[in-house]
Amino acid sequence: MSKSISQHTDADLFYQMREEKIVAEQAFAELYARHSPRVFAYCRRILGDRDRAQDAFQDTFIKFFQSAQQERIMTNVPAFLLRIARNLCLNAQRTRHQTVQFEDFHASMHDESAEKTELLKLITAAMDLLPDDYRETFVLREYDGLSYQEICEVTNSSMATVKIRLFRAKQKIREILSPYLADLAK
Amino acid sequence: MNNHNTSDLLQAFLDGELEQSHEQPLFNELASSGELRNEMRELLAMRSAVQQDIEAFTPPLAATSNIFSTLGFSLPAATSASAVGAGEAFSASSAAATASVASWWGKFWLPSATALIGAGVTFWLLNWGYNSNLNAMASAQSAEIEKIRSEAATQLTNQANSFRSQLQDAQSKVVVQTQKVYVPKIEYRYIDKPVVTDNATIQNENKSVLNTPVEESAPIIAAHDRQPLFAQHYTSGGNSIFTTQNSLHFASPISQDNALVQSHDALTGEILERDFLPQDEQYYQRWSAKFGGVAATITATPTTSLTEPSAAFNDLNLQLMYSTNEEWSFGVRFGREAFPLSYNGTISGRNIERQQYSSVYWGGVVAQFVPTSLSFWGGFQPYFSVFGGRSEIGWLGRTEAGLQYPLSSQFSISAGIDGSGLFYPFQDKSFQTYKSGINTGIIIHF
Repeated sequence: MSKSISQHTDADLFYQMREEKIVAEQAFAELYARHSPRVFAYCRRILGDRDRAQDAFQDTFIKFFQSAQQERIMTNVPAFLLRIARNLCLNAQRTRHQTVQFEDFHASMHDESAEKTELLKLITAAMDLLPDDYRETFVLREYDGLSYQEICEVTNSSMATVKIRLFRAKQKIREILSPYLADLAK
Repeated sequence: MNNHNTSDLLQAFLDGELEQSHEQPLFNELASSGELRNEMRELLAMRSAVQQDIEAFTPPLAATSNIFSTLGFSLPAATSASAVGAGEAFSASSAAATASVASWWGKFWLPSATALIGAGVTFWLLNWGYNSNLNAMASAQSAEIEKIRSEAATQLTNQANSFRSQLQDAQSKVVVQTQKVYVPKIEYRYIDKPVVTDNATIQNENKSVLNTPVEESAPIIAAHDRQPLFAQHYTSGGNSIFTTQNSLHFASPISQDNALVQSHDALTGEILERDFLPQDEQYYQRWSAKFGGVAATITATPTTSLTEPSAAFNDLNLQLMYSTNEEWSFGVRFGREAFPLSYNGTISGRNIERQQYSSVYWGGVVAQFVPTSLSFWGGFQPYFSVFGGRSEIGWLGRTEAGLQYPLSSQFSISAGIDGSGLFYPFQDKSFQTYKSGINTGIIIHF
């Protein structure tokens, strides 16, 4: 990846994906490097199950590239990416809700081999207990680092709704983890 | 500012979304609320833990490979030699894949065997050509993660430093504010050991605190025999201050409008802001019993030449009251009292007229009003009461006005003037008698 590419804005790179293959490939690779961690984090923490998260993550970037081939004005690439990921995750969740079985739930709860800290395990477990919209807002803020306004755009929600969801999600997680956090905060 | 609002402000601040105009109130609240500071530490701990969620931030290499191959791209060239992150991610991915395949293999070993061999060969062919690119991609991702984490850590450190300096600034302002205010006219008493003191005494008792920085002030009222847990500095409307210990309570009401209360924990040195009075704190006793008697009869109508009887327990009464607030009380009262009676009728066809001065038992309900704002002379308080009830011979009504004075938190004395009307029938006629007198009593609060 050339240095000049890495200095381009997200929007520039997005438009470059319409150009000839070598330029498009470089632009896509750069955008992938910039945003793939947060997109995967979103899919992983929203869906819980690693395999489903991986499928949604792959489809997100493929759709993202396909979308770039159409004429459109791009202002916020991360928000756009997360919006695609969100739609795919919602579809995956609908499928899962229709066919969910106890074993799936159990497996998702224990699919945490790579998590290293006890607190992190507790937080992810606590997140699973949140309503979907609360968990999503929490992930978009804490994992993806989106501003409140960006969360509004991604989730098509009002600012007040976003604030309430975020506040309650954090309070709920704090409530669940209160004994552990109290020790940790000392 | 309630808990919900301050938590809301705190979260917005940590998210970088708080308007500047709301920062100072938040810092003030943080300076005074240990609970809010704990909440901040918990939220920061939560955020820090999330930033460590490497597994969530690391897309599997297989997924990366699939995306690029689906789009017909080759993986980008290496920008770093480090492949530690890639190794971790690949191990996690391999472990999950192995478990999944084992389960699947156990159920469908025969068809799977064929598919697995085919998939393995295909996977090897696909990946063999650009293993170095896979590692390079992982390194780039790892560097990106490290960059995000580093930026987050720097941001948190900056926020913490900024908060710390503003917290210290806010604390110093709180102290200065507390030292400046002063005013004298407050009355107070202890619940268990009442003290009603005048203005000069309070000034004297508070002098050491008023002239001493808050952090260094020792618990005041040295004569008090309790071991103080903390001293509290109360300011009201910016122009009054008095200091209490944990056992000190109000006897006279103080306007709570615009009141600011800061409590100074003498053990930890922490300055805490709190509600003017805790909601669950009672600063007056709810129940009281009054033993009273008619000390003297001033007037009586009708007049009679008979003398007042001197029966045992004559002119004595007992009143049991419950205070619904600091001024209003309701209860029951009963006793025995002599009334001059004059009535007439017909007996055996002859008109007769009788006069009696007899003691009758009576009882009924009573309402009492004590306007605490009219307290004067170090504790005297006027009271007004209305009684309605029944005696042995007829209905009885009574009003009373007087003064009561607290001897202690448990005992008060009272003296007042009452006026009574007794309405009674004889044969088919109604008669009434009126009297006024001086009433005294001893009140027990509990």
